[in-house]
Amino acid sequence: MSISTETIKLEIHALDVLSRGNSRIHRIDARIQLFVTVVFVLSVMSMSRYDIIALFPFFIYITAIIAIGGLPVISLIKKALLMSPFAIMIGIFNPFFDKTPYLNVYGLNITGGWLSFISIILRFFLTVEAGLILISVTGMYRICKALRQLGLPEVFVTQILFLYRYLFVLIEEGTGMIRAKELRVFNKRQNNLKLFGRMAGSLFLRTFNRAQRIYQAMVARGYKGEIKMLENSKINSVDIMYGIGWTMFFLAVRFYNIPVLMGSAVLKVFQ
Amino acid sequence: MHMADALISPAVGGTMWAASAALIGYSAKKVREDADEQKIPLMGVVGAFIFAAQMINFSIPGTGSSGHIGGGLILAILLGPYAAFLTISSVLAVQALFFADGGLLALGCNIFNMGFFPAFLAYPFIYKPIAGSKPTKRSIITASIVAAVVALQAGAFSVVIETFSSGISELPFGKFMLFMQPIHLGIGIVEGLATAALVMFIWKARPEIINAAFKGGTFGKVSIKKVLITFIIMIAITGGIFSWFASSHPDGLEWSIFKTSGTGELTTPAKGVHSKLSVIQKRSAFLPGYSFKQDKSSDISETSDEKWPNINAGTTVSGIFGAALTLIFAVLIGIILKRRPQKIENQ
Amino acid sequence: MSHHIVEARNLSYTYPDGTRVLKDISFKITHGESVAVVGANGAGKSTLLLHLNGYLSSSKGEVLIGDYQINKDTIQNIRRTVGMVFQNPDDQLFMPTVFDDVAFGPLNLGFSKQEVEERVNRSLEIVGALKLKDRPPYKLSGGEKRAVSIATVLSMSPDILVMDEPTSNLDPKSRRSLIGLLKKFEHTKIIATHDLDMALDLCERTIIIHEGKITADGLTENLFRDKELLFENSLEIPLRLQACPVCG
Repeated sequence: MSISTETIKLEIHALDVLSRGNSRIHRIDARIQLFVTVVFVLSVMSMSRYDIIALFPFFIYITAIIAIGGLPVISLIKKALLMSPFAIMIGIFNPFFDKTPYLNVYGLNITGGWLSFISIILRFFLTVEAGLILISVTGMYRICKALRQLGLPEVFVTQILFLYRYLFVLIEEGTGMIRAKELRVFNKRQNNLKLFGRMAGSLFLRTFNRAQRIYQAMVARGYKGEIKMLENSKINSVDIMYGIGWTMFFLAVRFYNIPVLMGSAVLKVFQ
Repeated sequence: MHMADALISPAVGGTMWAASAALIGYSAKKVREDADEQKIPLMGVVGAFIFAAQMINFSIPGTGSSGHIGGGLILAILLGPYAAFLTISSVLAVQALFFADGGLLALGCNIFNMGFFPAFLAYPFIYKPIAGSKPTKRSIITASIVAAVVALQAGAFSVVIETFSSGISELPFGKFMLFMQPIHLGIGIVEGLATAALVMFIWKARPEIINAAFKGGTFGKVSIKKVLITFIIMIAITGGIFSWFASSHPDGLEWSIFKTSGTGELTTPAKGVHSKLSVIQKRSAFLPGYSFKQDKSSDISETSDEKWPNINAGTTVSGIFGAALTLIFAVLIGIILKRRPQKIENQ
Repeated sequence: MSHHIVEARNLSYTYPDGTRVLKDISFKITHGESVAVVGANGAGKSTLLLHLNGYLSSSKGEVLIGDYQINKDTIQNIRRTVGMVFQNPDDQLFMPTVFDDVAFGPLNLGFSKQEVEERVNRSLEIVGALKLKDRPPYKLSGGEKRAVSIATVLSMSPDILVMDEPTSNLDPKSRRSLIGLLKKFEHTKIIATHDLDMALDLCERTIIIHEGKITADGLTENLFRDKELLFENSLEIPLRLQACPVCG
């Protein structure tokens, strides 16, 4: 899908600002945040495909982090919706292929396919939000440092950082080019392939030259093939508690249908 | 064709992550060995270029619609396969993290589908032989289109396999394939045309860039062999895990037999998962928490089944009640913990 | 090195495509001097600067920094001695935060964590950008980017500062404060620029390059009053030295 310049700028800018917040969540070590997110996503993904109600407790994690981190709820939901078409497109077939009646509510048959479709949507929402929340409370920079501390190849991590650093600069350049073209080519919003080749090609050559100048600047400051950064984050006991706490919660939700247990317990009291 | 977390199982996600991580490690090592330090900033900046280039739309000949490049193949042509693989991986990582385009665990699938095939299959085995070391306009166009089509067909097929193996979508294998492959044939041709247009421009302006990727020590004969071997091993491991998974999770096949034979009622043979399932199904229809899939697969869920509360007629009610409670609880937690939302400053 | 001489001896450079950009360049710059290198676009200024830290090396001629010729053994030391600030801060500042950028050089020199942090703080303090430490570069103004760019080389404690167009794209106020900052430095300074007014402010000596050759080398004031010389080199008298059209 194509994302407009403004969206990219606003989105990254917004997330960047969020990730610089100073809530209790933001202070948790990025490695722990990453770990918690992975456990969360794995727990959600490994639920049975017909689970709906059993998925609900996972929302507690999402709302808790959004609340503590002071994250903007509406824009997080919007972003998830923006990306939902593929999951919906694939999931929507389930009701057509799985017509096993599962439940009869006042004469209306609810099939396995509908259940698994709703389940897919819920999982989609949960996992996407977990990812967005992760980046909102850590930021690209801390995530990359965490990945490096966790042993991902330095070459790989540094070029994610480079990509991130120059995303703005290049999008600015690209926008300038598109604008310049639109000023000269009238009544034609789209380009033919040749024009595309020329525009994207010259953008690439500029990029190539820029990379060369960056390299010069790196060499001038003693670069010898390895980009060094100070690793200043340390995992403390609060971080560990945070990690263990959520992990236990996710495992409990994964293996016990907490809403059902809770519901029947409360009902028992009233009986 | 970004895969989403919601459509894959942890086993598939994990396997593909392992495969992609191994390829990232291998490529990083190769780029290092190459000792072309200049490539490190180049790869990063070119990754950003892919985002910028995706903003430039073009009209698709013969149709009214417009397209933009995907990136894998063009990166391989400009940077060589290893650097291209790392670059496309980082592009996908940024897309996953910032735009929620593809999830964290699906990222392994996405890197494999959109990075492996163009960089290690289409470029070395299709683009290079067709384009040759002294490419002409015609050979560039042919090579780009064929390579892009192959890369996208392979990628799309991989999406089908991953989705099917995960058993979350009910789409039958064949139907899903018939749905995916033709769409990606179209996308592949468009991608090929756009790639060719871009390559031709750069070839005219700075042929040495494309030559460096083409010749450069980056892809000797030995390493092709190595990559192939790695690929085969990967397939074997992946296949092994898949089949193990499939046998312990008889979901696709058995489940559909189960369904079509209409034995989902109480009359199921009294043994095994089917009876168990139908019992649960009958009693807690609305809360089909544990299907037979897990009953067989892990001990933990087995025990959790034992602990399943003794379901009576009120189960449905308590389920709905509990669900409502959970949601209220989630919202309450949100309200209690809420800080003032941060203002997004406009600088 | 007690006396930081920068010397070029018969330096010539030809690009791989055959274009000769430098032709027999010779000069000697001594400790504490501040020298402007001026010339039209494409005169060879930037190519010359790239020779001063050994990024480019010539087939003909040589460059000496201090008493050392630039070669494989001396290059790391020379890159520490010669702090190079490039024209476009977006190329100079490639790391994700100001801190990491300023720390990049010291880390490559192998200093301890504590030493690196001290150097970062000190350099940012000097250029008045300490409060920007944790910012990403895209959130800096043009003037701030310049200041941080300079800090990225100051942290390596160079003896010689080489700058390419330090005032380009700056608004008048930022330009003024940059000139004020550079005035305070006691380093040997070599500044390639089109901004002749700045050259007048900062550099007592000027080298004019035209089509790869040195066409003049002398006191800035004298050179910049020579209308003919400047015209021949595609330059013009800086505004400040022009006769005022109103008051005569």
